[in-house]
Amino acid sequence: MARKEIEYMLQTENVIKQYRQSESVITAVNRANIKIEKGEFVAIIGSSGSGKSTFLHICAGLDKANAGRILIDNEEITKMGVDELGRFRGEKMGFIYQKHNLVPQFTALENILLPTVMCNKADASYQESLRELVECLGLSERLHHLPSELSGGQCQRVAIARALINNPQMLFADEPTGNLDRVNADEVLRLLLKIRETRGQTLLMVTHDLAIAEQADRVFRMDNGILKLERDYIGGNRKTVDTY
Amino acid sequence: MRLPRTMLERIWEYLSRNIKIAWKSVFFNFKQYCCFFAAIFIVQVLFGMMAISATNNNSVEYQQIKQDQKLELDEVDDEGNKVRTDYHYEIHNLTLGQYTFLADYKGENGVFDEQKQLYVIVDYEERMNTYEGEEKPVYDVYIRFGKEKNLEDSELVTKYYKDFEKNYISILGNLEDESVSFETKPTMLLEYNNRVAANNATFAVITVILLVLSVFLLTSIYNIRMNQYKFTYGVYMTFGADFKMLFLTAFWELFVIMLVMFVPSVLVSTLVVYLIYAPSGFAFSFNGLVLLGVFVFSFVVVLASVFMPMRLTSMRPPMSLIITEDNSNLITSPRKSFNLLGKKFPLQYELYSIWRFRKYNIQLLTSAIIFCALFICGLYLSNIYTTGIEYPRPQYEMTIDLDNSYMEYDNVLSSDIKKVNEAFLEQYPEYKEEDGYRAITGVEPTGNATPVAEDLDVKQSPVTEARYINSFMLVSAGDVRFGATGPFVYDVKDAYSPYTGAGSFKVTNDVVYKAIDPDNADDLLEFLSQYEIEGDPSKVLESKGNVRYVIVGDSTSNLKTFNFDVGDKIALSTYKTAVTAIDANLTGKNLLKRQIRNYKYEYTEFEVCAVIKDIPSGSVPVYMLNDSYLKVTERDPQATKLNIYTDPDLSIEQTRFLASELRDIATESGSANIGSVTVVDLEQNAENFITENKHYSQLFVVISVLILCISPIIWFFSQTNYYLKREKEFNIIQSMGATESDVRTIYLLGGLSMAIMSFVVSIALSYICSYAMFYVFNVIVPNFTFEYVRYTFYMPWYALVIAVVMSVACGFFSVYIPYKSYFKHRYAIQNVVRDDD
Repeated sequence: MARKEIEYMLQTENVIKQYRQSESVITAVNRANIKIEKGEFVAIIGSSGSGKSTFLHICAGLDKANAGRILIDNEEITKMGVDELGRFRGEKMGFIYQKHNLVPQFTALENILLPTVMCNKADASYQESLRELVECLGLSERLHHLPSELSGGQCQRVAIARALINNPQMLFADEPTGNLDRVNADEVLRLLLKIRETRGQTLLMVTHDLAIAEQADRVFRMDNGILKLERDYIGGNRKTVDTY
Repeated sequence: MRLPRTMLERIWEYLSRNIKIAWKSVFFNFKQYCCFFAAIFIVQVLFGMMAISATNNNSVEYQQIKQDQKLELDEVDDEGNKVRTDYHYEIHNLTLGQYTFLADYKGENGVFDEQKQLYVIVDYEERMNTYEGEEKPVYDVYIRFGKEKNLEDSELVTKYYKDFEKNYISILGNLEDESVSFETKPTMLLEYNNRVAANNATFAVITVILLVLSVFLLTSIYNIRMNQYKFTYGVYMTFGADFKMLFLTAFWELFVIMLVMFVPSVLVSTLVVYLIYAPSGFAFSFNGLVLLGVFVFSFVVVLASVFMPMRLTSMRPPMSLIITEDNSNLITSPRKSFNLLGKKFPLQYELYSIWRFRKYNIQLLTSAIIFCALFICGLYLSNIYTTGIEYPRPQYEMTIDLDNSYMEYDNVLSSDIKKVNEAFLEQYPEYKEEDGYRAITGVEPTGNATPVAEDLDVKQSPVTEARYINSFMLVSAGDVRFGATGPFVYDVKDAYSPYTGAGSFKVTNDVVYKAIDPDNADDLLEFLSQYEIEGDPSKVLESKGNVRYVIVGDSTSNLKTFNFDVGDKIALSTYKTAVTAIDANLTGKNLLKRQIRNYKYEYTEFEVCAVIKDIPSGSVPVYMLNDSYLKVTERDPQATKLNIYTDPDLSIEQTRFLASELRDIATESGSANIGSVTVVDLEQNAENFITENKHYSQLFVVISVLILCISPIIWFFSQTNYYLKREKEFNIIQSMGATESDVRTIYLLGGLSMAIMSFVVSIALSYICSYAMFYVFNVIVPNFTFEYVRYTFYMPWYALVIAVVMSVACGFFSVYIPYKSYFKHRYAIQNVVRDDD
């Protein structure tokens, strides 16, 4: 019986990010390696300032690494030009920030549709996705409200809809519930995971919250820029390695 | 037709979608964009005014010609056919014989040709004139050059005009008694096409300048906006926006503003130009193409001005944009700031902040105050149009054809010209009351100053540019002003024929040698007396043997270059032979250095007897007696032209009288081929120029004021955004114990520091710009016009005061308004901060 070949959605190789500060150099990400299969949910935990958000931003092409390779769906984004990367990000990736980062002058609906405008999607192509997201996230009553007229939880749900509207294969979430209370956080996370599962999307999430991390297929810990596998729930074993 | 409909639908969907988003973005954040409304309005008004005035310039010129010629240019004859009655040339007081010659001449050797018709007599007037007791008819003739189909070809018309003057006018003079004189006058129509072309070229140049200026303005304020709202673009980029998308997003926003401001700006610009042109009394014209022009111009400006900010933004990682929600992106890195002020609160705290924000402050000061400086430049230009020329210029140019006439500039001709003064006093006796009044104030013998090597032997001229005869001037190093460009150190060791005088020398070939005829020096010395002179110029006549005197200027390209004093020594070189050939591609100093090394020279030493302080100059003039001139230049100092200077206050009739008298001298003194007195009438032309271009002056004033209005836009827009972002900082420091008074002090310090800095920077920039304008008009422009007119450097004080007051006021009040706003909304702001936290 032929062994099924694993399809990776995200692969990083020796990613390094350093900042120069006065005379010293701070290494935020130190030779981080990770491979995430398609459809997998991976969480990264770690203390504040450990470099986990930086690593997430680099993986999503929102920030630049000093060294290393990053492949998303087997395409190396570290070699892409800024414009090509922008288009690729719009097509393949969705991003949820800790702070919702909604554009204040746009209504909830317009914020959700922002990625379709950026990618020049025809109206028909996103209508089904929009209907599904609005329904699932319970936003139908708030679509024509401005961000300033929405609660924190509603804003974050709009941000999730925005990240998912183009039906990206790879989702990045940077503490998506970090600004919410427990009840709202649980609700938002439940909805996010539900949609992800339905759509079969890959999710890489940075979180402080161990309860959230426990729902992931695998958990990594970022410690002083070094990425280590913390738990592998799919394998059922707890293992710690220096690098994956 | 399904396909076109689908296309239209798609275009409509695309446009409506983008405009809708942009509309929302612009009007939801009106405060962010209000300065763009103002800026685009100003840009459109500026271009609209230029375009409308360009149309009117041509129209007014055409109407002026119609008015001057007192003819309808497109008359209809008795049979209803359109006939052209416009003409290029007038000849007055022709005799019957002369008139018949012009009307009928078809001489076999003449230039008349049916196919290449040189001229057409459009109209004539017959008058009866009493001459020597006998009544004879005289004719005024109006001539057009070329056939109708050639009339638009200005080059051909000019060629026919020159042919006509050369081949006909001299013959006309020979047909009748010498005492009968006629007058010729080219009309404005002759130059009309050239002037239209010049107007259009000027408009094109101004359009380009305006385009650059407008793009600079919008790019500046877009950059200010970008600095404050990078976050939004970071979000866009997170969700797939590439450069094209960012660019289009920004473009559509400005496009919406452009559309909104289009109608008001066209209306305002039309009104302003109408008000400027209305006093001229000519019909105001408005061309519909102006609307298209304004639209296209502002479209291009909008496209160009968002390109660079968006290109730069798109190249940055999105996270770097998202995290700069506050003013942190305006701060110069703490690592590069030295903590010279300590941390004493609030005085030193704020001074330190000003230093930390120096990148922002410098950008703000320069971008805002540059428009004040441009305002000063505009008024400088406006002044040039109205000030005119402050230095003597020749009124007439008399050409002497040495090869084909017996005439030369000698005692006889000099005396004849002086007699014109007497004739003038007879004609206008009221001037007799002024002691020693002379209508002709100076005569300057001149000629071709730039001979080519092969015709040195045959051409004669009393002026010669040193560089054209491989010559140069040596002056004592101390006589060259510090920082003067041009003269360079003369290295004795390098020279093939070293100059052996004592001391160190500098050398230049930016010199023009001018001859003084000792038998006829009065005219020239009188001419030179119009300028400020140090020393005794008449001492030049005392040159004898090896004691040679010269009169020298002290400027090159109208800029003071030398510190000559009476008694200083100079040496002039005379080229003898080339020892080694020189690379033909060398020019300027390199060529002269090589000439000194490779050519054999002889030197003639001179002593400076007088220095002319303010003579308009391309090259520095050196006046010497004929024999010295011949020794240095090896050219025969025969005058081929006379520049004749007159009292600039004479009326047009008096000027015409002088011209007529001078023409009589030429007719009496020579044969048919004597050449002619060309009435250039430069002074009158200059006056006409000023009168004709009065609207330009007013236009420049309006444009300058509009440009000045840009400065407050930048100040208030930038500072409001900056302090809005700092409000959070003030709330935080207040929560940590700072009093309201402390925060007031911080605002006050910000306002005062900006006022002081803008005072200094605006004065400095204004001076730099004024000097730049002076340099352009005094040094650079004359190189293209081949005529040196000297302007004095001046600072338009009222403009400087306006600019400085405006900058200082803007510097202060652009902080004062955010300050008032902060305290007014303080509690609301605190609530916002609480929400954020």
